[in-house]
Amino acid sequence: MKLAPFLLIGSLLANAALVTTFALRPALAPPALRDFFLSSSAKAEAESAARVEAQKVTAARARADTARGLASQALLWSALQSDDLPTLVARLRAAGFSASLVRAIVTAQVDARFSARIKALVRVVEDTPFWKPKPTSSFNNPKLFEEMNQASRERSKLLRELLGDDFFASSGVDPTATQRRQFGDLSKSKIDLIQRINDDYAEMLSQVRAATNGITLPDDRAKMALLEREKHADLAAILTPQELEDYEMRNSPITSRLQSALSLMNATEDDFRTIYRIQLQFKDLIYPTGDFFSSDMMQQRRDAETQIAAQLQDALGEARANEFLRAQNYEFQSLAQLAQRENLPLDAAVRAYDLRTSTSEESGRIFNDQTLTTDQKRAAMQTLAQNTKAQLIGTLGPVAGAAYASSATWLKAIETGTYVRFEGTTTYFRPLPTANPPR
Amino acid sequence: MKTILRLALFASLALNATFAFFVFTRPAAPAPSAPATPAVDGPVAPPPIDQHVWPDLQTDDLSALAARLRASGFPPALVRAILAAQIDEQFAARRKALRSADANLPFWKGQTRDPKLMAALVQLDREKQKILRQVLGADAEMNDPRTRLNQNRSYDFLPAEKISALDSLLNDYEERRSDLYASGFSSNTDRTKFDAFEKEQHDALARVLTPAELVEYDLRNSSTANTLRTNLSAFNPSEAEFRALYPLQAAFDERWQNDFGLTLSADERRQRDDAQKLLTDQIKAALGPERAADYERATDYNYRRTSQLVERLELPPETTNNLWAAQKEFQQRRMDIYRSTASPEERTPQLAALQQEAIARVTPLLGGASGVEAYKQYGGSWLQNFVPRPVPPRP
Repeated sequence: MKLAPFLLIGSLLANAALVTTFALRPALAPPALRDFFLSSSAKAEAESAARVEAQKVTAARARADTARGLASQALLWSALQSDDLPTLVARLRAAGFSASLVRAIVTAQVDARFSARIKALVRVVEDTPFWKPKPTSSFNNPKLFEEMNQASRERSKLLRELLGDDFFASSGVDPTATQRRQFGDLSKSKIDLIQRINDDYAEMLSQVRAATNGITLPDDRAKMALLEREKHADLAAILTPQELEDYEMRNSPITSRLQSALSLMNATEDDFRTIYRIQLQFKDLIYPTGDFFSSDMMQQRRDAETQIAAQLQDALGEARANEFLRAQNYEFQSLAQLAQRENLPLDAAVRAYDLRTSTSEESGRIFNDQTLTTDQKRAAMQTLAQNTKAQLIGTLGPVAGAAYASSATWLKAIETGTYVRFEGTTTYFRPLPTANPPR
Repeated sequence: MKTILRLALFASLALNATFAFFVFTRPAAPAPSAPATPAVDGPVAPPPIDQHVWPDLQTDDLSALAARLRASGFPPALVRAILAAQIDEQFAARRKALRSADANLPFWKGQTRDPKLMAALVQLDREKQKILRQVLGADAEMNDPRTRLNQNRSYDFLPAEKISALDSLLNDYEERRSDLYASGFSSNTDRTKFDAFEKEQHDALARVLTPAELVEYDLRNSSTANTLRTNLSAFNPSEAEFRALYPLQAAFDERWQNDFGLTLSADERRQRDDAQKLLTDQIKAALGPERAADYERATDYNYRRTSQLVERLELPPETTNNLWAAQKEFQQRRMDIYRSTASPEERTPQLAALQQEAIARVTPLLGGASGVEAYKQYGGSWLQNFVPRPVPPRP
């Protein structure tokens, strides 16, 4: 029996069956023949399916790209961040952050570095039992106080070194104006040198202060005075005499103490320079360092104030000198603030202040009046005080006038029968003698 | 013929095999693609650091900015710092307008302290803080340990759940207090207003705390407690002693803390003296005789300063009490001279001699003349007051 013809027939039948299958399901056909078996609608369907598949692939690729982008973006801070702070500053600047943002970020990073140290200092305070004095004042714990100041100075120094001019950058503030107020028109290189000198002497002064433990001995004062002289000499070595005077004038504690008074009297630059130079001669007496003032020192201070007043009158004229002395008086400053609060002109404060002067003089007249008995003097002083109260209310208005009258120690003292005298920054009280009442 | 048949058979079988291969080895239909974000294969590089980084992050929408910063890995403290700086930026024009009077202020003049301006600036700061809180929630707070220190609040006696309520209440009062100061009120000239304000705050505390908690709060945070702690620093009280002394001092302070000296009428001065004497007696009774003597010494300002000086000069601690005893003895002898002499001419040389004797007595205690000079400044002013100064001319 010949097998081959049967096999051939079977094989051909199988091929026919497979071709039929391909015709019915072209997807099963070999790719090269698939188009042959597709009908035109099936072809369109297949193309559409292919497009969907391609879109899926594209979308998947886009999602992958997004995920990769997000993952990359999440690394932005780690790419900017550096433990080396100058590097951080450079990277932030390179990344287009504004000066105020660089300052904000670097300040936060520096604060984080100082945090452990500050927390340790704060813990000393928090761990103090409530029945013990809080070690936060220079009186109770000068060492801790100095350590806190030291940390604060180091933080400022670090920020200044890191940020340069951006140290003054703050929204709405012109950094150059801030710097000019402190340094005038000095060059950048001189400003850098001054800051270095200041940092060095602040450090040394801090060490002297910390060692005093609240008790400033003559040796300590000598050391502080020496440091001040040496600092002056160091500054003199890098600045011209004119620059030095200008710099010291801008940064002197005398100037900062004068600012309120000079604003109140609307001083000119000439007024300021005159007043500054006169006060500078008596600086150590009127603004002493340390925390103790003996009666001798107080007397020297009063004498200095008298001399300053005389020199001011010569230099500025009596009226302007008196304006300055009044503007410098703390009580006048309070009155001026009250007047501003009540929308009154400064003149109202001046009149209230003049009332203070005239009332104190009248209390002296009553006190020394030989024709009155003590009881009559007391009654006269009480009447004087009540009249002054009424005038103060008339001058400053019912709210501010009454508030000032009830808080003015001098007026209360006159009301209780005391002669009050003002001399410079000192107020003298001389009560009338009291009879011993029956107990 | 056979050959042709064979070739046809091989060709047909080959086709069978090929077709069958495609039918039976058809690849499985692809699974529907997962909608989730595909995993990132391989290492991811951070974005390049160039001038586009901040402009790409920046947006005026602060919530969006915060989200972008967080997504960029910025830690909360920096998100806060950046947003605060951005809010500052947004408020810069308003601040500048408020401060326009100070625009070209010469260095010798101080910034304007107009109460209306100060109030407006405080308001501006508060608005900024409010926006920061709205955007960042709890992350808006700086959590700076120095703030806690400045607030000077102590709640170690309170359960945790009450602390935030108390903090929030005190913050409200702190805001109102700063409003008062900014509006030109001062505790000096507006004492009555501030006293009423403090009382209102204390009443509010009493509504939040139990009576026992309020006592504990006052022991830690009241002005009486603060003054008492300072006055008792050299007395070194135990907790029990502090608790015993506090209510006595508080009762006295409630009436007399702000009224003293020549601002009182003769009658009021007498009442105050009586109250002071009663307080002293009560304290002595509470402490017992030995500690009462310690108290008398240690609450003397000069004794405290002497104690600090002795420590600074590294002298033996008992030096403080020895100097105190010398002071008492010489002051008594000075009084005796006043009693036994009739005229200044007779008295002055005796007082001068007594002064020299006193100086001679304390000099070795203080380690020499420089110690005596320091003592004159810190606690030993009595050494300089033996001989009366010339009376200044009567005013």
